[in-house]
Amino acid sequence: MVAETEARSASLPERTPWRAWLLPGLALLVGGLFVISLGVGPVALPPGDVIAALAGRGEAAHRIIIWEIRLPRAILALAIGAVLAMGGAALQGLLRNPLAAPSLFGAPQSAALAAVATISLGINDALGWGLPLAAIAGAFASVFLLLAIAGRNAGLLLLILSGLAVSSLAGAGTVLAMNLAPNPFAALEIAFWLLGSLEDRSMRHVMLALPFITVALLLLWLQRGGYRALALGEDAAASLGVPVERLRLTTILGVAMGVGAAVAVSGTIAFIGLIAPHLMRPFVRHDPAHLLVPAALCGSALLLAADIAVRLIPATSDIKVGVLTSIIGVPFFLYLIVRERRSLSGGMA
Amino acid sequence: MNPPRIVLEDVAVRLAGRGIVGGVSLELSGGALVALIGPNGAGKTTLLKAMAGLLPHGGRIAINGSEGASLDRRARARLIGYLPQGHQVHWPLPAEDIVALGRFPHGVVDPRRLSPEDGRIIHEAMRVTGTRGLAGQSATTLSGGERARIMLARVLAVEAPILLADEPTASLDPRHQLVVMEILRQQARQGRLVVAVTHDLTLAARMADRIVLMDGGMVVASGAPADVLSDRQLAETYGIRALRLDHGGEPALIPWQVEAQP
Repeated sequence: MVAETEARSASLPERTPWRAWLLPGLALLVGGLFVISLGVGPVALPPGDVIAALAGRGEAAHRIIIWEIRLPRAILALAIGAVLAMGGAALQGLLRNPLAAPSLFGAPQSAALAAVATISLGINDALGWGLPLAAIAGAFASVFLLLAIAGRNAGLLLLILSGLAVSSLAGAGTVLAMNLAPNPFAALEIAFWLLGSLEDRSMRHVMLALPFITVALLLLWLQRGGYRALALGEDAAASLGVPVERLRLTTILGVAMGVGAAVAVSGTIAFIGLIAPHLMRPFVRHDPAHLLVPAALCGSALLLAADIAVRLIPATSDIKVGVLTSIIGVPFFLYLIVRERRSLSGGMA
Repeated sequence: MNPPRIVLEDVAVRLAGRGIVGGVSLELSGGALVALIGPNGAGKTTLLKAMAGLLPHGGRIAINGSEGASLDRRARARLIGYLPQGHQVHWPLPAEDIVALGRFPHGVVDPRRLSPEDGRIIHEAMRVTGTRGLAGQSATTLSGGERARIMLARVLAVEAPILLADEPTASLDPRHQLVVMEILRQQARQGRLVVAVTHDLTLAARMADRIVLMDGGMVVASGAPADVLSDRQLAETYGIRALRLDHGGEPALIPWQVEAQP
């Protein structure tokens, strides 16, 4: 009765074998960038010396440079890039929208505001456990507020406008704290949260952020089946047994933990969550569940590469990595807007 | 397997403070294609969603003898296949991955790692709907008719004894309307309970075993097509008059003209 479609051949090959190489390839790329990142700086070290120093051999000075200065920085770039990217991929899966990203929702800005506020008020010092917790609370509040304003089946336009409002408010709050800062040094310290940087981080910073980031990555990864089912809309997903409300809350919590912990040690680094998932989507047949891990690896690679680039770009004063990701990210965001023009002007995603 | 059965007792649904469905009592059993019809805003979709367990409701809905609310999420998902209106897909997923989502309630998390049994069921669902040739095609490049059949294959792959379909033939060409209704009728013949919301009175009159007519949030008539689709009933609920034909002993009904409102 409906045999005519049987004759038509599939437009995609059944199971492309090269896809099996995606994860190993990305892992290799991240590993390579990690080693390069350890080698780049005022004292340039070739990969051989880096690996020797990591293994506890080679010159004592090299070992100190690698272990004390560059390793924390590289670990943070790896972890923060991963969690920002997976957070973006998860939000996009939840909202079924390629333009959803933590930074467009004001999450990092709100985390920064919470961090700055608690420091200005003298509740936290910059190396205490209270700081990531405050930042996580700030990020959670912003994403929760945003989804509450925008509602369940919010259109793209509504989400982005609300995100703009939230991030502007948080940004204004941070600048106000700078404005009211008792001395220029305090103002400089606050400016750090706006710029976003991985310079001069220690293992203490790694210890502060890594547990939260690890939990966030795990929490988001466990929701992957739900994101795939949501491709059919909330009703169909719920009818398949996906606990949609719980999925929303878990996603917000996971994103907030990851972004909050990242911001607590690096300030705001934007657009990784937008770019990485977009780059990986064609390689996973647009599957929102299979996207999570490749996106995370791609995010690690992007942030490692950006952090290497800021050390190589000749400039009179240091360019912060958060500034670089924004300079690359904003044009990319514009490009995505152009691509999504149709759904934007239609109002609904 | 006992024939599936849904019993509704005094079911009421309020959305945003407004009563959409009020006081619906119904008994539906397997082996029948039930057409749920009624004018726009009659509460058909809302009632269907309540049956699927997607909306909080007053009254009782019992699925195979057990209270709907007491079923856990997975168990309900295996018992009831729900096909929403509009056939939307938000990502350009390959068609076969969409069909594989039907196995989600049975614990399939990854469409690339299917047991032979799950693979067979997906294959069969795509065969029945004539969509095997579309397997690798991206959902966003499918035509309306193709997407409707992929979505139908997805819900068939659940292998649920109860199938609730919301306007499965809307915006399809006449051929695909017939194809989809025929598939639903076959499912009912296999012992399933199939409830389909539709605006197509001609198809409902011809294909359905039973018609439930809703108006203003209530069931105003329920029974065999010939009884429910009487001239009086059509005039009262739809405000239309139908043309009736006899095609070799098979009655056909065509909505024909607007009746003056009573």
